Formats: sequence, structure tokens, C-alpha cells
Amino acid sequence: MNDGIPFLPEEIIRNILKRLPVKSLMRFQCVCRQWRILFKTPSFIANHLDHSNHQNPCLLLQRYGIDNPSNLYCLDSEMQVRELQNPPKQGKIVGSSNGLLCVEINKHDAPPHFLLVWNPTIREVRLVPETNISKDYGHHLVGFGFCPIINDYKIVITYFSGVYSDLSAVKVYSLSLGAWKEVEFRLNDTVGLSSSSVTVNGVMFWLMSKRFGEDPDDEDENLIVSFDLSVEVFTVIPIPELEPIELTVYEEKLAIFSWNRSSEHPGTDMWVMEEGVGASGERWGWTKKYTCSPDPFFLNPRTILRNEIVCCPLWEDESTVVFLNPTSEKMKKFAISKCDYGYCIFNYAESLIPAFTNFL
Amino acid sequence: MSSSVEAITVLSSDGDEFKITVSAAKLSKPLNWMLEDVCFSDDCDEVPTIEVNSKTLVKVIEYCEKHAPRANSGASDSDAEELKKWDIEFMKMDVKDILFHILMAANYLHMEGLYDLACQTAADLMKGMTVSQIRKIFHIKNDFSSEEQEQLRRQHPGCSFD
Repeated sequence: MNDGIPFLPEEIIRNILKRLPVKSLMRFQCVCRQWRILFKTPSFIANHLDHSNHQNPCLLLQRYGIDNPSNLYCLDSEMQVRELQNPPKQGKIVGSSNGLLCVEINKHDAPPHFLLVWNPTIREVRLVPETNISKDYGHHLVGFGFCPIINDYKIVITYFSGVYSDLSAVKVYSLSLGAWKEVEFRLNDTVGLSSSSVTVNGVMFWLMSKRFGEDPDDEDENLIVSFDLSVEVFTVIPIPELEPIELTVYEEKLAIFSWNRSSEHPGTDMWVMEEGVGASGERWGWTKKYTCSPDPFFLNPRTILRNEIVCCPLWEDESTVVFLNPTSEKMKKFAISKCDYGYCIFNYAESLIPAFTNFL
Repeated sequence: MSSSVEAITVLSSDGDEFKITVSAAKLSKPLNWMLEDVCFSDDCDEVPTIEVNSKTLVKVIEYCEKHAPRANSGASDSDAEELKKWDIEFMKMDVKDILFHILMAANYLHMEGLYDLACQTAADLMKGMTVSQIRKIFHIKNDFSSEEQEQLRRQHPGCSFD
């Protein structure tokens, strides 16, 4: 080593570059050919994503209401809020995975709905072809997730004949194949599925409520439906007797926020699913991780960011997001911006993942 | 090695002698191996050379001595906070001056904490740099043809090669 600036080996340069925000990398692709190629290399993209997911996890907030211009805000790990530029017009985010967003464009609030896959940081958009579903259905739900085993992203649309109704069809789109296929899923009961899904380790999950009888006063039975993105098989999973609010991901495991109305310790609970515990011969085991006591019925937990529960409390101005540390029960409040309807919240991390290539 | 030894002497690549306490040396795997080596037995006069220049070695040893108590015994949250602040102050250095030397030394000495810290510091500094400043610190030549530059400009309006 001399006293000048030493030549760094490539391994060290890569380790520095993976820590840069995508915006800087976009600028630095003009440095030289080698760097421009590096930023498109799957192994570098994966290292950058891994760093981004762990060191700079963000939240994406989108205002409810499809009629309004769909303002999108990003709350980064330094708790800075910025607006995302040029979101697709009339676009509603329906899924977020590894920096890719699945956006539903709904021009007239009626089918057909167009889907886009969008990476806002590298500004790449891919139009997903329409499904060949007949327009004769009540409503549909869109899920979007990544499956590490097959290294592919999939869009799952479930079509229903009504809100509480029979599941009429399931269509699955693979981003690497660029094609739709129909998947069989028969349920003998009338069910309702939660509008949001979460994906953990290549398996997509929805909350499901099953109606017992015709009487509307009858209580629903709560269950979970999973869809393995690699083998494309549905499974119905029983959950403990609880009042589920929302599914989330905790330490790479599926978790449920639920209401706890017990008079002694009313609060919001978080249950975490362990697979293959097998102690009592069950395939799925559930452990209660936290009970948060403040205002159980109005806390409105939505997701988890850096082990803190992200809530949109109903007692607050609806533009407030509250971070609740479940162990210390300390709360931090953040005002996002004026809005009337509250927000859809997604976990998000900036990435270089292209919307186009086959990821292989 | 004798258990009575509390500090060891090493030579920098410039030939200067430095003392480093045994507990601080444990932060580096290669130094740790040297510790277990015969060189540090009481009846050995040979002083091992660390392939790091004096200016850099001073900083590396300063880092090791500061982090050694926490690394060896664990620490409370308030200590961790204090150490984080210390790291920020410690890393206030220039790329041109010493940062890349620290990076190379941390890599060579297998010091994960310092390596991570130095990589992050370099990345944070780069965010504010122009493309030509980046080329300068990494000794890179602009190898794009004018056609390629034109194409890149079309794809990414506003991108700069300077």
C-alpha cells in the first residue's frame, strides 16, 4: 500500500455498492461498462436486495379510494416520508414483493381490470396480459408473491360469485413464464377471503371465514387458506379460536393479529405459526408472542416493521401511523399527510429486480 | 503463549513498532492465531509484521482497543449506544486520506465489525459524489463509447458521465 488511494479488490467494491440506494446506482451505471453490467447481474441484485430488506425496510402507504389520484408515500427506515414519483394512473397497489409492486388499474370500477408489475425505483413497468375469465363473477382478489425455490414471482387471482359465495375460479400468472394458468380449488362451503394476502417463504396466505348456516347471525368459523406458489396447491389451515384482524409476517413466519376481549387483559395479540411442530401430532402449531394492552379495539394493527407493530389507530387522525414496540409498549407517532380515508400499507424495500427478465 | 502477557508488539509494513493489548488483538482472527503462535512465547524475540501501514494501523488498533471490552464481555444497551456514537466520530475520515486503507486492513485482518462500518461509511460518502469523483477514487476510466453514452442518455434522461 502506498499513501495514495489503494485499488480495492472487486469483492470489497461490491460490498460497498450493495449498500447504495437504487437512485445512486442508477447514476453510477455511467461510471464504466463493468459497473453497468454488475448492476444487472442476478447475484449482485440478490445481495443488494438482501441488504435493502434487512437494513432499509420501508413502508409503502397508499390512500384508500380508487377515484382519487393514487398518491403513494414511502416511509423509509430513517422515518422520512417521500412521495413516489409517477405512479400508474388509477393504480391500486395490490401486492409488494422484493421491490416489485403489483398494481391493479381500474378505470371504471368494473372488469376488466389491468394488472401491472412495477419497480418504482428503477422505473420499469410490465403489463400483465388479461386473464380469459368470463366477466360473470362477483368480485376477485389479487395476491402477489415471490417463491425462492423456483425463483419466480406469481400473481394469484381468486374469483368469487359474491362476497359470501362460492369460489368460482383461480388463475395464476408466472412472471418468468409470462403466462396464466387455471388452478383447481374446490371448497364445499360458502367462504369469505380477506382482501390482503401475505407471502412467507413461497407460500401465500389469506384469512378465510366460513359461514355455517344460512342465518346471518350465525358466527363464522375462521381459518387460513394457503397456496404454495411452487407446486400450486391450496391447503386449509385451522387456527386457534380467536378474532383475527390481519395476517402479517414475523421473523419469516406467518403471524396473525387478533383481538383479545378477555376482561382481565383485553388487548391485541399476535400469534405466530410454527410448521411441523408435531408435539401433539398437529401439522401447525400456534404460539402467542405478544399481548399489547393499549386500546385493544382501536389499535388497528396492520403490519410489522423491524419487530415493531405498525398501526393505524382508529382514535387518531387517519393520517397518523403509530409504531408500537410490543415489548416496551412504547409508541411512536408519524403523520403522513392529510387524507380522508386512511391508508393501505405494504412492506417494501428498494430493489434492482427487473420487471421483465425471467430472473434466472 | 504465557498467560502473563497482556500486550503484544507488532510491526507495521513501514517497520514501526506498535503495542496492542491481547484482548484487543482478539478482534482479529489472524492476530488471534498469531497470539496462539509460538512467536509470542516469552523466549521469542521475533516481532511479527502486519501488512498494514503505520497511519492505518494506529486507527485499527484504536478501534480494537475501544471495541475489545464489549466484544469480550458483552455490554448494556447504553454502552452500545455510546459505542455507536464513537464509531460515527471515528469514521469521520476522508476516502482519499485513509478510509480505503482501513477497508483493506479490516478485510485482511478479518475484522467483521470494522469492515462493515468502513463499507457503510464509503457507501454513505459515495451518495453525494459525481460520476467523475467516483471514477477517481476507484481508479476507473470511462470506457463507454460515445454511441453507448448517447444510448444511455436516451434510456435514462438526465444521467451524467461527469
